[in-house]
Amino acid sequence: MIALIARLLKVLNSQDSPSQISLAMVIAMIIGLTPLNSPHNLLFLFLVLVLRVNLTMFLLTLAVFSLIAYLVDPISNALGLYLLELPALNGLWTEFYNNTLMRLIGFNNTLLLGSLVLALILSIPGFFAGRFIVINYREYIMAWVKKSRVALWFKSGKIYSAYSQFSS
Amino acid sequence: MNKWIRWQGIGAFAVVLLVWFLLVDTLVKAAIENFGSSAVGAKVELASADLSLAPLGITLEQLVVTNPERPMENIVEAGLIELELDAANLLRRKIIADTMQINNLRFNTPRKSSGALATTKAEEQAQQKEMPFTLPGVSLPNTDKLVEEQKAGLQKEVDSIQQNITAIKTKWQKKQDELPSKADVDNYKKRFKAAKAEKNQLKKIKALNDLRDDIKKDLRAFKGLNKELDSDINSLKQEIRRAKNLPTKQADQLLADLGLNTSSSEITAMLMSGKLDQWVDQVKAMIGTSANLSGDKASTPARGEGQWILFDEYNPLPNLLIKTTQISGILDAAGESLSFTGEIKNITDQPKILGEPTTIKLTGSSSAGGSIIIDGLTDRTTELATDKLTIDVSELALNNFSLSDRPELSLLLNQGQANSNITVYLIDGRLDANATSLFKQLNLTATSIENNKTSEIIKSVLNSVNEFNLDISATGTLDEPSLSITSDLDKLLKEGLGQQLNQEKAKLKSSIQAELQDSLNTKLGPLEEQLGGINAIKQEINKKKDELDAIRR
Repeated sequence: MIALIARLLKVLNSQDSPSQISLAMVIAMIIGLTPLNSPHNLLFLFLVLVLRVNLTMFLLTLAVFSLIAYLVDPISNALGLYLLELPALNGLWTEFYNNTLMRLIGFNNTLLLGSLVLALILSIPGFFAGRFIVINYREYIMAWVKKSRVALWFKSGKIYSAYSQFSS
Repeated sequence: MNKWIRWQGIGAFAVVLLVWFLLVDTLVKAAIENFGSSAVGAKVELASADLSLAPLGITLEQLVVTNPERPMENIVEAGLIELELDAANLLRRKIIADTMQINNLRFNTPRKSSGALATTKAEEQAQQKEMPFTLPGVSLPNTDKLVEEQKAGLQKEVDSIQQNITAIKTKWQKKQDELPSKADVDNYKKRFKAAKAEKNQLKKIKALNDLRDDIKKDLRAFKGLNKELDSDINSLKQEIRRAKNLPTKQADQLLADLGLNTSSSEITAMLMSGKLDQWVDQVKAMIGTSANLSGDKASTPARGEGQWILFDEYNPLPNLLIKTTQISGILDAAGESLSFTGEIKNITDQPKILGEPTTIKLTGSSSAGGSIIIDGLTDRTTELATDKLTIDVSELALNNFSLSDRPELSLLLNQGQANSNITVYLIDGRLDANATSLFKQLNLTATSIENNKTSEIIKSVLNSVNEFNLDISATGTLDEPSLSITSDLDKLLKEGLGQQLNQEKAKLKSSIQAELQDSLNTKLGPLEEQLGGINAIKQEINKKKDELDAIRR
C-alpha cells in the first residue's frame, strides 16, 4: 500500500505533462471498465504503448477501475441491454451485426457495449478532471507540502522513504 | 511529434502480439475444454491444440469427452481432429468449416479418473442404480399358519356334519315315537290271541278284520319311512365322505397359490439390468450431448459475461457449422473390435438457422466377418425434437462378452455370434426403442456365489444354452425409461425351475394332506359312530314293521 502511494506521488511530481498523465488515466479507465479480453482493448493497448502516456499511472488506474468495474458491471449490462433493445437503433445494430469488424468487436454483447459506452462518456470529463487535479496538485499541494512542518514530519516517515526510493 | 509518440512502443506492441501468437494454442485448448465441459456436463480434455493461420485451421490431438452419466467412462475419444476454418466467418465469431476429419475415434473407453464436474453425485447415482438381484428360488414358504387355518375350516365342516346328524337323529326319534310302540304291538298280539280264541265265528271274523284294519292303518305310517331314512343316512354318509376328501382338496388349493418367488420372465431382466443401464446411459449421453449442442439454451449469463443479443443476418449462418465430418476409428462391441468409417453431416449449434438435421452414418466390420451399420439423425429444426438411431449388427463374433457381472449370477459369453437390430426413436421427449437380438453358436459360462439346488439348476440350464433370442423394448422418457425384456432364456429357466418346483410341491402336499387327514380322522370317528346310531333306529323301525306285518298276516 505504501509502495502504491509512493508510486502515485512520483507520477504526480514527475515532469510528465498533465495531459499525458490524464490520458493514461482515461485509457486505463476504458480498459478497466470493459471486459479485459475484448478486441477493442488491443487498440487501446497499442495507444498506451505508442503514445507517451504515463505507464505507471496507467497501471495504477487500471487496477482501480478493474475493481470498480466489478461493482459497475450490472449497470453496464443494463445500459447495454437497453441500448441494444432500443427500437430506434435497431437498424444501426442490424447493419453492425452484418459488418465483420463490428461483429469481431462484439458490439452486440450487453456488457461490452454498456461498459464501453459508459467509459467513453466518462472519458472526456475524466480527461479534463484528471488534468485539473494534476495541475492543481502541483501548483498548490506540492508547494505547500515542501514548506510546511507537516511536510518535515512526513519526510521522516515511511511513505517518504519509499517515495525517495522510487524517485532515485 | 516525438513528445507524444513513443516509437519503442511499436516494438513493445509487436512483442505482445508475438506472445499472444505463442500462447494462442494454449488459449484455444483452454477454450475448447471449458466450452466443451459446459456443453457436455462432464470433463472434456484435450492433449494439444494447434492453430494455423495460413490456411486458417485447427488441429486437435487426443480429445476426450467424458460420459456425464458414467464419469468413469468416455463417450468418445478422438485421436486426431483436423479442420479448416472460414476466416471471414471466424472474424464474425462463427466457426464454419466445410469439412472436418476425425481419426482414431473410439467409444465408451474407460477412464483412469472421474470425469464428473459435480464431484461425486453422478458416481453415486451410477452406483445406486443397479437393480437388486435375488436369485429365483423354489423354496416354499412355511405353511404352518395356513395348515392351522385349514384345520379350523375342517372343524367347521365337522361341526356342520355333527349338527346335521343331530338334527336327523332327533327327527327320526320323533318319528319313531309316533310309530306304534311296543305296547301297541303287544296289544295287537293280545287282540289277535283273543280273536283267535273267540268261539263265535262272526265275532271272531269281525275282531280279526278290525285288528287287520287297525294294523293296516298303523302300517301306513311306515310307508315311505325306509326310503326317507335311507336318503337321510346316505346324505350323511356323503357329507362324511366329502369331509374325508377335504384334506386333499385343501392341500391342492394351498399349493396352487405357491410357486416361484420370482417370475422367470424377471430373471433375464435382472441378469441384464447392469448391462442395460450401461447401454441406456451411453445412448442418453450421446443424445443428450447432441441435444445440448443444438438445443435452444435459455440460461442466465454469468456475471462479467453479458448477454449476446442477436439481430437479423442478411446471410444467416449458425455460430457453429461443420458441414461434413469424415470419421474413422475402432468400435469395441461385445469383446470384438470393428474398424469403422463414416460421415456426420451438419454438426451445428443452431439447427433452426441451418434448416437441416444432423445425420450420422457409420459402417464397420471386423476381421472375423461381422459387420455393423449405424444410421442416426438429430432434428432440431422444428419445435418437435426428433432423434432416431438404427443399428444393424450382423454376425458379430462375441468373445468373452459379459452379459452380467453380478456375483449372485454372472453370465459370460465365451464365444458366439450375434445378430441384432436396434431402433431408437426419441420424439418430443417420448422414447420408443426396440432391440431384437439373436445370439447363437454360444458357449456360455454361468457362475454364482450361491450354493443351493436352485442356483445349480439355473447354472446348468444357462451353461447348456446354445442359442437364445433377446427382445428389449423401451418406452417412456430417456431419463426414466420403462423397459420390457423377453427372452428364450426365460422359457428354459422356467422349465428347469418348474420341474424342481413340482417336486417340492408334491412333497409339501403329502405332508399337509397327512397332517390334515390325521386331524380329521380323530373328529370323524365319533360322527361315524353316531351314524351307526341312526342305522340302529332304522333297524328298530323295520323290526316293528315286520312284527306288525306278521300279526297282520
